[in-house]
Amino acid sequence: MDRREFLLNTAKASGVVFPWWGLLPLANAQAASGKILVYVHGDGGIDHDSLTDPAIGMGINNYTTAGTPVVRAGNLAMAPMGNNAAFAARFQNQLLFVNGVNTATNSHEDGSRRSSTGKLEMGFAPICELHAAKYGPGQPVAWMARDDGNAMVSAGFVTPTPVPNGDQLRQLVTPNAASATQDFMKQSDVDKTIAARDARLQALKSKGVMLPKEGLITEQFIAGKEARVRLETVAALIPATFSQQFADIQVGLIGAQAGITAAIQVARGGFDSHGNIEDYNGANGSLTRLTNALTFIWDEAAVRGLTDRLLVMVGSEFGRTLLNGSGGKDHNNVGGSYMLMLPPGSGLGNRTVGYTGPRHEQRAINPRTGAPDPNGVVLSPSHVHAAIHEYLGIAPSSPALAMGVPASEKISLFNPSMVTGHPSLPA
Amino acid sequence: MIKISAQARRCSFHSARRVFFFCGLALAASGGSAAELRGFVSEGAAGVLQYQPCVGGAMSTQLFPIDDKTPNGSLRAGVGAVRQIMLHRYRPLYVEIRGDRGKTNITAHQFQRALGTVESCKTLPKDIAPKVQLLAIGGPPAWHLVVTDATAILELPDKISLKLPVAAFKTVGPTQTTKDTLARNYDAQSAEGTPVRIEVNPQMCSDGRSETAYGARVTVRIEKRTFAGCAARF
Repeated sequence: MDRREFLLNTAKASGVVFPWWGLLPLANAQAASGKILVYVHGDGGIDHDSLTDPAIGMGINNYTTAGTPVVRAGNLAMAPMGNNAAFAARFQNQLLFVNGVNTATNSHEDGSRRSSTGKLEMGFAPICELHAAKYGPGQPVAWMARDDGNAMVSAGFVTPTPVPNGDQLRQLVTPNAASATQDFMKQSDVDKTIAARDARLQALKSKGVMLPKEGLITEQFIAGKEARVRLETVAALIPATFSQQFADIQVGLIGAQAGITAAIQVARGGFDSHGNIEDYNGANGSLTRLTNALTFIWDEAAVRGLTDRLLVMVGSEFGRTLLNGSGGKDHNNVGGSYMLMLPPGSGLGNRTVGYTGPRHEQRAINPRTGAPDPNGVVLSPSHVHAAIHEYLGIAPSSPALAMGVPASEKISLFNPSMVTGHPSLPA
Repeated sequence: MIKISAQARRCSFHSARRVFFFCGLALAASGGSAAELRGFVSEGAAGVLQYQPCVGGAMSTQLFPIDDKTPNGSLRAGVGAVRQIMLHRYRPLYVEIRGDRGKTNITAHQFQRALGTVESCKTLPKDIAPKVQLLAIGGPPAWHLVVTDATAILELPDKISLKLPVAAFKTVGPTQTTKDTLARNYDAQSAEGTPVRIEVNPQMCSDGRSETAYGARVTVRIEKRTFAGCAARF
């Protein structure tokens, strides 16, 4: 009789109600086919012109002045900044850009919330919370988050768990761990204690009938044991050393692999570039830090066998203006963007949906085909979220929590034939 | 401060009655002991604005409640406008004001600007030279006007630069108090003969995009063109 069988038999014998998620076979705690959502917040308001929506024109950006051509990769165009060229070349078939998104706010706080929930109004759930509520109920860390507080205000379905660092993760899952490498007690002594507890549970079982209070205590004990079994699974996945730069992502993906996490929310900052847009550029600029983080997600997911289950969503507060008098760029509700990254081979990448004008003016598209259409739809975060909800199967059943997008405006974002491209760029 | 003491010394040479009268007038006209104050503002109990000056590279731990006597409450309005859109909106906000600093409080007479992008006393902005008397910016497309004791230059879009006579900016607003509070116009003619009117109206001004609010609205009229903007010095 193994430990799980023993626990189940004990529960039956004592008449306790076993938590439903505890009845799942461990390997299926998070269904192998279940999607894992990673939301990356570009904190500060990513300049779309420096990433997924490049433009050519004086006064818009410095790469035009320098005569540096826009990066092209398949059907995608990216600004010739940071490490965008290598990033686009590697992930071209996984990338889906959504440009020309009007966030209807120039406020960091409101934009942060809108980008993660899809709505400007308060009270809506961040997309990670919806995903965790649907695919990770009962999971100990269903929504792991380290982000700006406005982007992770819970609507009450799932509580975000702050992403622990590597040491904290080991301490969390292994109560005997003092740090990433040290234990409080000899593990052999701890094992003896656990064996003694198991023997006591056996003795309880042999008694047969239990008093209600004994039953309750046993129920709690079993639940605790089950959780420990899960956490031991996490412990087995912890690497000898953690990434210095991307420990938050690594810890999140360990949680996903172990079946204790369905949604991961992290942030990469440095995008509030009022003073100088060149802060984005170079080997240590905010763009490279972002694309390196995204690259790490896919590399680590491959190591952990999660690649086919990932949806990575990069959002930010708003777009930005053309160059201001200081060589920086200010807030602009017009021209916001999302970057989605899909599993390799999905056939949904290598596309751009939505666009802005030659100097990043607002433009509308046909919601079905993506073609430029003056009578079409100006994209908002609500349109994008509604489409992703459908793709992930997490659309809230309550109309009060829905995105409120009319059927005629729903965009076919995950239809591979929906393409806008970059029509404002010279051919 | 030096200017005010000099005026007091000159007054002491006249009869006592005239001394009191003229010294009082001069002090009132110069805005009392008004000084350029640079520091951070936060909201205290009951919404009272509190000022923490920058001392060297560090923020003073002493909090000075602010009596906001800026025109139209432009200081409070400016702080509010920046807070609405700034990153980390609850941290202290950098402001530049003219006011009287007492031992325990300050009185703000002129709000010059508030910048949500300044994070500490170690990184104070140095984009405006001390000698600048009027500085206005606007856009897009970007334009700016800088008036000092010696020069007055209006930079317009399309790389058009107009040199204006400095004297045109000295005729209106004889006292600092007047400049702090009253709207005024400056009429000038560029070296090329183009007439330019600059209207300065002390009230909170923000573009809602740059995490910056200013103390005055400015309109520049050149022939049939109009450029709207804000002033950080006026």
